[in-house]
Amino acid sequence: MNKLEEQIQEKAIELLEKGEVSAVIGWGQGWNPTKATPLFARDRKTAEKLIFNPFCFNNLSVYLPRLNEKVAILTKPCEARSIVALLAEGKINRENIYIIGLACQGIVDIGKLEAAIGSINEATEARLEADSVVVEIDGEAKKAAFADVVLDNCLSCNQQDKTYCDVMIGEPAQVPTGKARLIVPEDADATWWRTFWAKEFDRCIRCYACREACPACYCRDNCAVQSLRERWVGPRLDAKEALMFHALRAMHVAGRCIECGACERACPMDIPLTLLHRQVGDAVRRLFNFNVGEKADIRPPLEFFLKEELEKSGR
Amino acid sequence: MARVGVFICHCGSNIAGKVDVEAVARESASIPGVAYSSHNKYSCSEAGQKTIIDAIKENRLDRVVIGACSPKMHENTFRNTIRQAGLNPYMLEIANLREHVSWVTEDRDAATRKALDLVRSAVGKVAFAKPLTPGKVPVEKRALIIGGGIAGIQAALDIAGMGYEVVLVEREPSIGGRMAQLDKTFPTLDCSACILSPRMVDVAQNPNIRLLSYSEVESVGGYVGNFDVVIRKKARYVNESKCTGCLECVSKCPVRKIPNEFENGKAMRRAIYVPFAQSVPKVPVIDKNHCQYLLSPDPSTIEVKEGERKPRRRCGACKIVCGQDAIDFEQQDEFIKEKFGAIVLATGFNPFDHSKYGEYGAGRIPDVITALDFERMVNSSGPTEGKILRPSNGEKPQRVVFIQCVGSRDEAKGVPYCSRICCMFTAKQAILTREKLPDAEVFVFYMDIRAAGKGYEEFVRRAQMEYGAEYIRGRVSRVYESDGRLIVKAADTLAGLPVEMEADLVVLATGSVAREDAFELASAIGITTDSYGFISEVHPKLKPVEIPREGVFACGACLSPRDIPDTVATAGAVAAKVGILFSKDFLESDPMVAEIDPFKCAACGACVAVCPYSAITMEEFRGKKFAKVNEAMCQGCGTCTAACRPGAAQLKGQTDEQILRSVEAVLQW
Repeated sequence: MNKLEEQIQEKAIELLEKGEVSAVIGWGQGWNPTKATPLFARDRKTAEKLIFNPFCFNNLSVYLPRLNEKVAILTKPCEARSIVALLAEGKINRENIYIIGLACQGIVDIGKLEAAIGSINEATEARLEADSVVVEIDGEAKKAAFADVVLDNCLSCNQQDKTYCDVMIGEPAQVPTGKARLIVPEDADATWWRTFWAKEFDRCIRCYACREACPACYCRDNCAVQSLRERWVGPRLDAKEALMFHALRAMHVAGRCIECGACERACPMDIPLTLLHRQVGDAVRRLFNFNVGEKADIRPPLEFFLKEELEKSGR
Repeated sequence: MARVGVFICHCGSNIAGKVDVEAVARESASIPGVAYSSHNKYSCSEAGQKTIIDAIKENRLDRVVIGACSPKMHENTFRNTIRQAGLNPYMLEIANLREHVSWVTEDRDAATRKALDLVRSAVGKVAFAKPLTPGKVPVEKRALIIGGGIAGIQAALDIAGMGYEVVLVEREPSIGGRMAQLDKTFPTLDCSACILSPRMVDVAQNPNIRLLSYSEVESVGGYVGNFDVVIRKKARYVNESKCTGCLECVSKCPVRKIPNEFENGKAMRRAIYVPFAQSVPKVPVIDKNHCQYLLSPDPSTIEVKEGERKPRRRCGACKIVCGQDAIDFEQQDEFIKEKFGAIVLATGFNPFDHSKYGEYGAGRIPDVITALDFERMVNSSGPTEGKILRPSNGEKPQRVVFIQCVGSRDEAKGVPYCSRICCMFTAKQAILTREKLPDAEVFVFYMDIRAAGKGYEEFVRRAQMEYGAEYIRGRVSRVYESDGRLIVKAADTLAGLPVEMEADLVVLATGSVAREDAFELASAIGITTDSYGFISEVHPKLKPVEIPREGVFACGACLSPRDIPDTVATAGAVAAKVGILFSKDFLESDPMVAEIDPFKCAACGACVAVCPYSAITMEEFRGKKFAKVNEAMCQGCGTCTAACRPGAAQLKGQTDEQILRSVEAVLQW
């Protein structure tokens, strides 16, 4: 257990025992040392199982809109913006949430890690050692440079010193620089994108895991794609219908998506959804000069209208 | 399974001339769900409607598609038709085969194919229609009139005359508006004040009218029949119930040099004042920006250091002389919240600001004045007591030049429209000039004379023939000062010659523009304005005083430039519309409004944020939040349905399901 984890557990136990919150949402050890899992600590015993390491990839704010109690939540600096976005939509109540910001040194992209060292299913131990990730498999320590296996999002991280939180644990860390998983050619045009997505979405099995992992997708089972009355998306399992689903989702989270990549990490078919959301996000930034999750008192830009926007549109 | 009846109308040869209506009717029979189809020469005729009713009954049809003209024309007719056959009137869909097909398609085959597609689409949609019933909302039979010019005054008197309560809100200390500023009125030359002031007094005396002068509307909420309005009654510092209107206070006020707004700034008033002699109410107002008492601090709160002079006593001259103890320096702005069933906008216009015309001196040449300045000048209670004098030296002018279309029909200045009144008031002012100064020459530069109105053309001819006003067709290019006189340069476009003449006084016939704050007012009430800022009516011909927000009407020059007769006529029209509204105890609300399924609602609040009518609120039931539509406030615009991600918000009669089915119906063939 590292010092950060000690502090996290101490804070969680303090909050629980003072009765300030009924649960602390954090991460615990999963079935494998490289797989952390969400953990709801409601007592001292579970709170002592809280961990934080470069394998804690889940965006925990996805749980907040479903809860009707006062909870504390652990958050990485980037994902604190999810909480702000939910606050902006009035979906969660600020008084019901105690936000514990964590200094983060970067999160490992399991896809990149497996590409570097092979399957990690049999891993017995995993840790960050200086600049490399060390995974022990069958007693053999496999190493990969941290910079090579860190999430794409971490490469452009600028959230370290502006985390939206009630308390910050740990010192802001330097995040490694490295190479993105997928590089879009600079001259990518509509045709390139069409071909690209046709290929990617052909794999989609419409399990909706992306939607379930997304903090902005809180409509859950009332999701428009599941409606039997208005069949926006047909039942056929092909790239065309899948594109309709993902395009619909991308439009629904436009101006509300913080591009955390939870959808992509949840995808069992490894579809690079973050690319789609980043593209929509770029359009939102360009058109509305709006950064999602920056301010808790401004509703998503597609929900209101400014006179300047009319002037800007030149009409 | 739905049993749809399809009825195709020939509309004489309007549709049948381009569309093979028989083929459309024949083919329609094979569309799934269609139980009956036929065609008819004129479906809207009584015989045509009877055919539809009989067919519905004979074939046990439960919904109907009519292929005819635009639903704008006859949707209501056919709703009533199918109601007579025992169906819910909303189980109807119109396929527009005239405006969307026959009138706009050359090729007969293409027209027929498109007609059939539209019928398929309508069948697909109507198959998922649900019976709808209108709601009922009570009507608060009180009218709010915003603006106390002649438009507001006339509307107030007419509505009050029907026995309904009226609240008239005027921003200025007195009602009267622009008309009160005028001297004579065309084409009869009767004195403006003489015909207006009896109406103003009527307003004050009418038991059904409550006048709130020096007040402004702060906010408007609610919906037709039930508007919630907050009115700010600005502090007058004079108790209206105590004041007798003796104006002793005014004569004693030491602050004398404030430009009088009523005199267009050409005369001075005091810090306590009534705008003009016939003001209604005749209760003065203290101008808090100039009153010495209100501007100086309370002496009791000032600490006096040794060696310093004690601050002077505060002024309060008006308070001292007032025998009624009506002066109240402690008065504060008062907020009045009231309910109204209808709102009338009568906010009027502003004269064009001629500072945009650099070629005419942009307001810097004292002897170039506006038409409104002239009105005040020629009025016996105005700054010169009715004498026409050169502002620069106070002498009588030998030659007066009138320039028309200043701020009208001038695209370069952003006013391409005709202000309609300037030709006439210029003729009037030319006549008045010749009456008052028989020795002076009068020239009028004009582009065209627009004198359409009862007795108008004759009036202009009188100015020319009887009074000898010299009319020159041409635009004045420049006016400048030279040796104490003005030089007017122009072109006589009829003679094709340049004109240059000296003048002593130049009067600019400034056009009418929308009030600058009209946009704010408009958006506060949820209505729209045209590109010049004038309030938009629903239909310029058939609904000239209705505006898109139901229960709100407009009259007078806030709609577009117009003269007094037209203003009074629209005020009367507004009164009739309000009367129609108030003649009912309950209003039927349109059932084609939005509805939100509380079980599907994700409570994201997007609909609440986007609703332009504030008709949606967030409710909570047993810990679950959901959005709810106030059906009486909803105008059925559908913005919420577009914003709703899970599709919980649906427009009744235009549901996503119906729209998708109608699209699918076209695409699958």
